[in-house]
Amino acid sequence: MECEAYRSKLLEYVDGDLTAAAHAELEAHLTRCPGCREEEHALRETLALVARMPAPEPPEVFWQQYLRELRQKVAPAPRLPRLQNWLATLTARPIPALAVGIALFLAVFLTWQSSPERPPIRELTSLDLAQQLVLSQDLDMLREMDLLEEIDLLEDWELIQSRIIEGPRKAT
Amino acid sequence: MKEADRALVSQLREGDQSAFDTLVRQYQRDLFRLAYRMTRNAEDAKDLSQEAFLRAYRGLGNFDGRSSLSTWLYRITVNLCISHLRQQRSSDAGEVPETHADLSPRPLDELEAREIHGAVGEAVSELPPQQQATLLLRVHHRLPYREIAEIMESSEGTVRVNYFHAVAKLRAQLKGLRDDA
Ligand SMILES: [Zn+2]
Repeated sequence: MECEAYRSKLLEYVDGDLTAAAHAELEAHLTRCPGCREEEHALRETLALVARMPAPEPPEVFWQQYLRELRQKVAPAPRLPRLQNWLATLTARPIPALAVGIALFLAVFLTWQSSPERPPIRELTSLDLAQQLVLSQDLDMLREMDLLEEIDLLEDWELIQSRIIEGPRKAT
Repeated sequence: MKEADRALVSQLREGDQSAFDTLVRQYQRDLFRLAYRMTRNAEDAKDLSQEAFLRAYRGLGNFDGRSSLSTWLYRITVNLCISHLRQQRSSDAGEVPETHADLSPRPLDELEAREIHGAVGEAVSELPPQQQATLLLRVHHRLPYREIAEIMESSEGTVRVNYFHAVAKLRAQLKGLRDDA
């Protein structure tokens, strides 16, 4: 057999996919033919490089989130009538949170108004503005009842809550 | 179909949530890695592999049990990845190709491991998607040709040819990387 014919079988040889007889024959040729031997090495090297192609190994927390997202998609929460759903979401947390938020906001605002030592104005206004923006954006979202069904909103509310609570503390 | 698969499928059909969890837990890594190596993007890999689970779950009625669950899941994932890549390629067609980190030919052993991975990933991503999937299923998932043929919905002969072409192309490209120094 010519080298050409042997080379066409090299991949199967390297893969251990040849019959015993064909394998032995090619092996014998390789001991005699440096050209084919070099080709064999190149093939092995190529396959080894592909085998080493990296892929991330996400941590367990990634897979927990991965599964949680999938569960939500396969079994969406039973749909309550929309108004009921909306009220349920509101009473669950946001109203108290909003009340606390507004109270805190006013308290800080009034303190700031009356305080002789005002914090640097730039810092406070940008903070307030950010809070108001976040708050008003989320209130707009609140009006869109569809979004109330999204669990994400609860996370947004937690974010607002934490900003409202943490924000003023930084400012005072 | 294997007995374990049969039991899992019937639990899934009954809407058993823990069966769905088992399915995901069992195959998440394989599907994610396959999708990652095909798309080279972790976010896409997550989305595509999740989509594969959803389609599998929703399409349980179409699962005839002639192939194994893993074959079926791989098939859905491969199809999603291939159409994702085709979409990406057609939308990239008009754009100037992205310039990558310096991959100009240099002796292979001088390339940092990172660059080698980059160069191999690049070369693999330039293969036709069918060949790419075949190569990855063979090298990384160590599947026999017969099973790859089931996944790809083609013949064993076609799979062998695809694999052969994929390796030959890579070999030529990586040889260029080494010899053109
Ligand atoms: Zn020879």
